[in-house]
Amino acid sequence: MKKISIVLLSAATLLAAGCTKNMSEVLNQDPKSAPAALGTALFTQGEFALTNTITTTSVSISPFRVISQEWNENSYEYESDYNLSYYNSPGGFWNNLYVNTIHNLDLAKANYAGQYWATPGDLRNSLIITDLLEIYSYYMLVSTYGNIPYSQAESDTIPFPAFDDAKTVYEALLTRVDTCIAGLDVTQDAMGSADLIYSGSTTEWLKFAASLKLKMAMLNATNDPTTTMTKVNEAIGTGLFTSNADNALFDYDPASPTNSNPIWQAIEYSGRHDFGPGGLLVSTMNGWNDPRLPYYFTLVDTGSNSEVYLGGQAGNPGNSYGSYSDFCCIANSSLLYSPSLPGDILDYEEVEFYLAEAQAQGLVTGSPNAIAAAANYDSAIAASIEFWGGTSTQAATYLAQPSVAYSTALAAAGSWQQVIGYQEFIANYNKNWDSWTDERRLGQPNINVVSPPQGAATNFPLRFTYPPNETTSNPTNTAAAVATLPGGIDALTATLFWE
Amino acid sequence: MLVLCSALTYGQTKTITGRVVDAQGQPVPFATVRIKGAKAGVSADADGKFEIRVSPESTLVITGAGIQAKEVLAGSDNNLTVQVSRQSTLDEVVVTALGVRRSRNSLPYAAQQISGDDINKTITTNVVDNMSGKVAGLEITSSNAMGGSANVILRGFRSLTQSNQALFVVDGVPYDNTSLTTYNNSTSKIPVGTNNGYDFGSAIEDLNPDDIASISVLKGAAASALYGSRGSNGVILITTKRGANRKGVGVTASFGVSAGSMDPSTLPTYQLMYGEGYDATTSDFYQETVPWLNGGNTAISIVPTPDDAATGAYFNKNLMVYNWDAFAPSDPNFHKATPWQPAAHHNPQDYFVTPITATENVIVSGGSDKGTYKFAYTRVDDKGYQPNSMIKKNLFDLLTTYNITSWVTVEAGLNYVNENALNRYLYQYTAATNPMTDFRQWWPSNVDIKALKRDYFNSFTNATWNWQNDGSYQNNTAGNIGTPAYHDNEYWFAYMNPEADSRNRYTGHAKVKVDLTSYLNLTGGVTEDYYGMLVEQRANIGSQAPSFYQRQNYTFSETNYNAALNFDKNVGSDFNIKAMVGTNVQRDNISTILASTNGGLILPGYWSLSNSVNTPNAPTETEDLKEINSLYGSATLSWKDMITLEGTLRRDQSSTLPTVHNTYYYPSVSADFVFSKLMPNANWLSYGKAWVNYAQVGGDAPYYSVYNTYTINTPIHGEAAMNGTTSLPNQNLLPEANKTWEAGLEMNFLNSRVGFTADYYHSIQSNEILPINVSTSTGYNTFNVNGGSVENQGVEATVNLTPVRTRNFGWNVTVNWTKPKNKVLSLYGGQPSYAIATLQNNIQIVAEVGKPYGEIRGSDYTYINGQRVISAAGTYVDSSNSLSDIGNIQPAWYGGINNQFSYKNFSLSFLIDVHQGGQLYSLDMDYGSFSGLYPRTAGLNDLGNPLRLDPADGGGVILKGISQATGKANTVRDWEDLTNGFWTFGSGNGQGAEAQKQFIYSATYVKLREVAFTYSIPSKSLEGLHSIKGIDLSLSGRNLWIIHKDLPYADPEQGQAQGNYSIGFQNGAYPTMRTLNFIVKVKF
Repeated sequence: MKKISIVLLSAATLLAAGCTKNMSEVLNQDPKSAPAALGTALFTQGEFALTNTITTTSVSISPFRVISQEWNENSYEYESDYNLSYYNSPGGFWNNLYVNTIHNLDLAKANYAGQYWATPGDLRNSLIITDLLEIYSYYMLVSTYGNIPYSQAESDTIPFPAFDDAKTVYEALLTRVDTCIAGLDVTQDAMGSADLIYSGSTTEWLKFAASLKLKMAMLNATNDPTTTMTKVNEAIGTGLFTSNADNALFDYDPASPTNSNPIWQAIEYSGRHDFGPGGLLVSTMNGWNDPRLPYYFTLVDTGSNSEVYLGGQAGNPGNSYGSYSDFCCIANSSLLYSPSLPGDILDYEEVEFYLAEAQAQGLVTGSPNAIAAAANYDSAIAASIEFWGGTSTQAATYLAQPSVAYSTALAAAGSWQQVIGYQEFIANYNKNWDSWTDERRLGQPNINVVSPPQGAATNFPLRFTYPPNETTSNPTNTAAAVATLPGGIDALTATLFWE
Repeated sequence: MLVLCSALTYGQTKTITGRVVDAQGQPVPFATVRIKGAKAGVSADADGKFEIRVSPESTLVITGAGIQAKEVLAGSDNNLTVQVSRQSTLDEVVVTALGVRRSRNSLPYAAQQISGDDINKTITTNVVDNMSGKVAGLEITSSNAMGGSANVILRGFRSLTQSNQALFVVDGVPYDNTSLTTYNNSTSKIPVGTNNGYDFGSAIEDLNPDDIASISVLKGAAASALYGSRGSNGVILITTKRGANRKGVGVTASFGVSAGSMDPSTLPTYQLMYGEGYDATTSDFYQETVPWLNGGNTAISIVPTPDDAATGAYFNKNLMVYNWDAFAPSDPNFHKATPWQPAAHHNPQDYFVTPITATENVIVSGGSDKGTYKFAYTRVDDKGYQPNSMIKKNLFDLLTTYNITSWVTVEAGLNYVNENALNRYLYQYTAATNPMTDFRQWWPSNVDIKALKRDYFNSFTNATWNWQNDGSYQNNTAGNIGTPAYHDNEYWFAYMNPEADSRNRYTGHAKVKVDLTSYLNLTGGVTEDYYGMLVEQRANIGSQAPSFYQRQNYTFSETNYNAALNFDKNVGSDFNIKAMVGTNVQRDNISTILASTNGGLILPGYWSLSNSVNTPNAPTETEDLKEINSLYGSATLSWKDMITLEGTLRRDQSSTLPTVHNTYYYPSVSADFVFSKLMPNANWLSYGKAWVNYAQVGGDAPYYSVYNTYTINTPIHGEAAMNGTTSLPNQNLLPEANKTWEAGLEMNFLNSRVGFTADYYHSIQSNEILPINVSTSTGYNTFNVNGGSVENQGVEATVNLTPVRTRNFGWNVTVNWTKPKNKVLSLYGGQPSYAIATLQNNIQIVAEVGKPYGEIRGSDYTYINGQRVISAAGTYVDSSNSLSDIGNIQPAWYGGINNQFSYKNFSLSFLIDVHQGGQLYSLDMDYGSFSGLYPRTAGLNDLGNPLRLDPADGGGVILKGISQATGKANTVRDWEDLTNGFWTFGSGNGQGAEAQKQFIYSATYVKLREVAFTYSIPSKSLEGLHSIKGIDLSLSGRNLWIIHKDLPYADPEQGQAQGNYSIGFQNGAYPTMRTLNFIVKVKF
């Protein structure tokens, strides 16, 4: 038995030495993933993700430039023809906002308390600024899809949230902006340099909040002018953007391709040429000798001994890179071809256009005011021209043309929507989601009439369909949302509450 | 004791040479010959010959596969012929869980054994490929890529998201077979590199096929329950050759060489009517004035080279055009117009080279009564069929045993493998880099592959058929050329951007066995499987993709400490009791690091992380740690070798589960009844056995599913950026559970010339741990949950026939057949389906409740009475649901038929491998049709006009279906979609592409998998050659003929490397290689 004991004892010792105590706790903490986070770092990521969603050219996330015919596609013309399922644009846009943006902003709020703040006011302001970006994200979601998960969204315990009524969400968001505006304390600071838009300037964020409120309010101007008027005047009272210096521009970092402007990543770094200028935009600008043309596009030699600005017809398979103008400017590596071009999420030109629309509809004083509208219209266009590099003189010359000047243009066109709509169309050249939404809001340019894409399957899209992942993973709630759409059909052409 | 000792006393020992033969005098190979009462023994060789040192009064015991044990007195003669009775395979000794060798009589579960020779008839670099069709219930899906990985699935897919691959155990060492490929494989740990999608092969390919003595396949949970969760997908036990107690040193050497050629039925055929372009109607050619070409006066016709499709202009050899080569400065056609016609060398055959594999193997073994040793070395040189691709392997195996005392034996084994590969094959959808997707999806036939080769080697530039039209290529001069739009010159990619990887693998074990008493022993040991791998990926300056250099280091380690106490005793004359208790500690450590240049390379062709335009980002690191502590036990009671009852129990504690739920149990009970023993007089029945068993097994969670984490990203202007996880962890995870039962019957008739083994199995996997797709409005893509259950059942059968057996001629037939049935029973949260994968072109592979695992989803047509609906424009009306159920990957049945003929010293065998049913979606056919590559997109219509013409000119096609407007057969010619530029006849209006349902094909195949012809040079003709004891020459072929398939231009077996959704989807399918092998085996 002695030899048995010795052998067993040594075997037992060997095994005991092998075991780890509390192994599920010790070994289950991933040693190469951070166990904790800084709230400000999560905010930076959320702000970055929101800006990317708005800025990217990827048709699997934001095909809006192409749909609105600011841009056009070479060779692969799915989105030009409103086939948005091919690269699952609805899924990409949804995920970028819910997962990459709002989720990280939510986590930022939850983690701020663990960081040092000079004053409690700084912490409170940071929470409010973070919330403003969430509101912006939800605003784009609700006005893109219609009913969306909101009250049950962003939860660790509800895997399959119910969808909320779109109008209810929209109104809740407007209230939420009001709360932010009331809460922002401009005597205190915020997250500082972690904010790559305003470096934590609370004064700027307050203007941003008011301008965002104006933008959101104008969405429902036709359906609910009373509320819109109240909100517009409140926003004016708070203080809107007053110059291009107020623009909400995210500071892309060219030190690393992934932190560079996604437009540069797509049209320069990738070596691909998937896009070209939209024909409608270029011909509109040519017609008015637009001073922004050389900042937007390159000249192209069409073989008739003259160099012109030329864009392609949407959906035309003959579009090929090189036979049309390119985006400006490769030669001096600036603007769209620059890795450090800032991402523009809200700007002054836009605010002036909203004010022009409001004045034209009488949503400021209660009665339409064409003179005030013209003033805002002029400021908007001048701001856009100067933003792209033009001069105030160029702007004045441009605005002096009877076909551009508000009063004469209005008389010719007959509708303020057409006059302002076409100018927004031009100014929206690099404004991705807004270029599509402004066309949805104003119906101008009326793509279905003036430039229907060659080979399009449907009319101009008025919303996104629900992402396939929602239809398959959350079928009951998605079906309930679809049932509220006109005809109960999840269609791109279904109208939403404000349309 | 005294009596026993005297029996063991060696008298005048001498060497006897003997031969084991059967009743017909045929040699019985590889029988074991030992002296009764002694442990050590020798093995007979392939001719039944053996040598042993004995005293004349000793009794020799002869045992072996398929023969009845026999005892003979050694006697005084130096030559001895032992005649034994054949028993077919019935008394075969089978290697079972934990390496226990058991008589087939007492085996209460399904286990099938194949010999090393059976898998060495042809040369493959992955031993698993040679098991295809040879085991019922085992489904192997091989890859045609060089060193490509294989799927090894036993009894169907159980887990929705975790690995379903069988566990390999080599000489008691769990041998990692993780798929090292990234794409399509959620379990892979190789970091996703820039060119994600190389097939790095299966790690099992490090195993030396020549060194395998036998393979035992434990199919069901009862057979493998003692391996715990790792064994839940079945276990493949591999026993390597070992030394034997013999005189002198045994040496076997073999040399093999194989060469391959393409199976033409697995390569594309192109239409030869239309050339490069995306739009024949509006601009056949670029009409441009290029001053230096024609003085700038008149426009010339330039082929639209940026268009990677064949919907361009009608070929016309009288038309002179400037093709892509007119802008390649190194090309003889530089600045020259050439006739517009298909190129002489436009087929992929002209790109591929002849693959050659050479193997050399030496095994040296020997032993005495103090111990044994074996040393093996194998060298493999595998030259792939893509240019500049190769794999080189060196494999060393050492296995020794030593008897320290009469009661203590030690065993130690060490294997070392060194593998170096260059340019493994891509299988992901990577338009710029994967030549096979080029050939199948985007290849206009006016492009000449040999011209691309010539241009590359003349200038070492990326002269491409797919110039980017940024205006610059027209100004190309030597040394200064433009870049490709989408596709690199295929030779540039192969030679300038080579992938390279190397792996060093050490597996080893040390084991001690202590015989405490005659019926009780203790074993203890340590096993280790370790490998380190370096993967380098590159893109040189001048490639279509941004230039980069990237290196990934991967280290894998699994260590096991184990000890077991084994009891084996006969009680009375009728009962035998076996019992075992044991314990195991398993520790895994897998770590990776991935570093890349950032923003491009500074200098071309210099492969270093420092050669980076921007400061490189921090490398990506991972480290996966896991520990499983186990206790197990088993008890087996046999009565008269006729009835066996067995129970086993294992308890695992796994660190990947939350502490409160990290312990789980695997019980199993089995019974076995050899009923033929009750009918000794039934002459027709040689053998009859029935068994039944039930087992429950559990499973742990994937790494790090429990606690929340964050990721730190590259700082933006120095500001930290972090994001939360998108897969919500879960601190309440429970172990997975699987319940399986099985019943089987084995019968042999007519002196064992006819026999079969058949069984039925049924398993339900429940509580599956999976990252369930949730609404992403949660902020997460997935929640880690328990949920979902999958049922697998099936019938497996093996039939053995010996139609002819004479002294000189034998014919054996073995048939393996499996009919699996799989069904998803439920999913988490009552969801109707779960997307296992979303693949290129938005094809989904899903688990759908009520259907078999692996439903394929994509766009479909609409139907009236089963016929497709046609719109007023003559186009199909597609279903609004772009995720319709359009196919399923599960086969109806699969099997193999192996015939073996032997005549004197000649033997011939051939294996037919059949896979019936199951479907796949071909992205190749979809994209390739869209691009107008295939004959189905060209030709003449019912009016005899080119169908690509405008219907106004008599073109277009009448699609078959029911007109939506009239309800009658469609009569409208479809054409209008051609204005979209692509070949889109048959698409829904405005959809731009045909419904994906069009590209669902049957995955059925019948293959002549293996043919082997062997000639053993008779030993008497070798007598002059002293020391050579035998020479076998064999000529064999592999994948010689695909007898039947439905899929055009490709091999239906070709998938996407290894993993749960590697089958059912084809993209850039590699062609099948017919290989011819010549192997020489010499024994010294």
